[in-house]
Amino acid sequence: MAMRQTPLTCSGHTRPVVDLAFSGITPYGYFLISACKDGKPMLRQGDTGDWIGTFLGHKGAVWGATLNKDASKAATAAADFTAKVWDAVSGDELMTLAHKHIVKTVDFTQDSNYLLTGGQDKLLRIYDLNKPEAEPKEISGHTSGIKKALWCSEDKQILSADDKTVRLWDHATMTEVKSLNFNMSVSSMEYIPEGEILVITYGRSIAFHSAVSLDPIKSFEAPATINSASLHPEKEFLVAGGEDFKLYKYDYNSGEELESYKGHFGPIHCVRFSPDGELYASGSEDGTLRLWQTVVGKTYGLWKCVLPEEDSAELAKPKLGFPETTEEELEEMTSENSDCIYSSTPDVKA
Amino acid sequence: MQQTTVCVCVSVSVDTSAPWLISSGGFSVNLITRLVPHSGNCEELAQCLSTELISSLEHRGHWEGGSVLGAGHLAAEKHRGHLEAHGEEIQGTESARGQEGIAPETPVTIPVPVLRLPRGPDGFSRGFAPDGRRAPLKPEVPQIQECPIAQESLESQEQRARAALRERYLRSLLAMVGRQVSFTLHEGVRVAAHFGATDLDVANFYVSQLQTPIGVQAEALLRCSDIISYTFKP
Repeated sequence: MAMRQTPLTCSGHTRPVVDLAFSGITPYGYFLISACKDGKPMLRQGDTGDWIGTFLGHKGAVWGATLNKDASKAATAAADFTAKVWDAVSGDELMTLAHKHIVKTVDFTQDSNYLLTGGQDKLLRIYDLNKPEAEPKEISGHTSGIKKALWCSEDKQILSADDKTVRLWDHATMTEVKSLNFNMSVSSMEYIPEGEILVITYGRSIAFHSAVSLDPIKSFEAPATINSASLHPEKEFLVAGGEDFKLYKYDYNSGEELESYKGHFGPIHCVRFSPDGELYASGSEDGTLRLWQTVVGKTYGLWKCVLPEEDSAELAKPKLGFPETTEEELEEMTSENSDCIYSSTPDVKA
Repeated sequence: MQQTTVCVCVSVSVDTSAPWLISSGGFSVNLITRLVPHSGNCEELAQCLSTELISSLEHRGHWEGGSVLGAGHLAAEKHRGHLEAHGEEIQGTESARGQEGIAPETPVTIPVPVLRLPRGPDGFSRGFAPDGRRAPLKPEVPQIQECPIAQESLESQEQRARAALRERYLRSLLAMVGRQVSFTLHEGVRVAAHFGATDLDVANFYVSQLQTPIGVQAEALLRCSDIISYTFKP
């Protein structure tokens, strides 16, 4: 019997979700941060979507949010002309970095020592997080507001996108190395370190470029205007979402459209694969985040695989308070006996 | 050939009303009572509901061109987050002949079952629970240096003791599974039940055949905060 995708809806935001980012894989799993126009970015457990906390402090819409690799710090960019750095374990605000206009994008270096910001003031700023009082280093050159800025090539270079261009800068010399021009507005950019691939979306196109040379690799056309796309860590699939409220999944090698899902009630603003590639998250104008399985029907997180012969018994039983089987994959769980002892590693809780 | 169309008034409440109505009578009709959150696009909302409507109609006799005619009032309340429509592809409204309703075009598939929905904000705090999963990470305050080695081993001893106690407790829970357990609750109430499981934070006890003063409950969840103590014989 074919399985149909069940998206997990994470509610809580009251305005459109405009950006989302996953952390790396940590001993506690991985985490997800969502930026929302309601000014209250939220931290969630990445594999289940469970809310962990809300970062309170911004006085305007939050346009960009990111986590560092081990999810110990979070950074957000907001319309109140500040970028803030937060302690992602306690939720406390660590620093507020004042800017001269709306801040749209933030990115940590791999070692979390520097923060890159960009926004409507058309300047890229690099803050040393160990010296918050020091003035940031500034890179100018963009002629329109910066939408996205990312560290690349092991933090030796910077990629930034404004309305019609994508530029590559050298970190050490702070100068422009290369630029790409587009005749349509660039809606999003994603950087994949393994393979140095850059994913750029503009109009209905999803384009892949080399992050080192900016040379084009390939591009696909979607049926509707795409706002965001993400490439699977193993580069087998890519997912994209946009103005028609649908999520599309393509085979990266052939460009064939594999699946498409309706579910959101508004345009999709951001899509990202999780660091282990098992799920992808989408944020929409409708104020929700949805988690989607990469392989539909697999037991992972809150999704529970049901084998055909178990159908009637399984679906009839109400699911009450069963312990979550999150981290490990339950290979072919044939017996769903409530006496069955679940084999999950006990968490160390003080 | 009798031309017939069906009349339905759906009442849900919206901000921008898009009037539509399927008109005429002589048929038994199921009223749509589902509320659909919308993004402001009432036309799409109307189309979604009309699809649902057509597929739930029972009718006798012929009907030509099962298309939705204009007129009438549709109002839908903007409920966020709680209400979901299927969001399936809008099905064609071709004419249906004879007794059958319009067959769905999507193949039969079962949705992937989920254990539960993701937990949302609790509504009264900003979260980051001090006893949450990552709490052990926090005490590693970077500025304060633990100088004497003796102090470090004391801490690690304590951690080991805690780990051992925790492991013993979890094993005791495992040993309880399927057994008859007697719980002492507030106000001197004692109940017996077969233990099933607890959740990750041991906030709820899932039991079956709970013997209460007002009868036996087949399945129940006991809140940990309500339990004073429990005993069982291994």
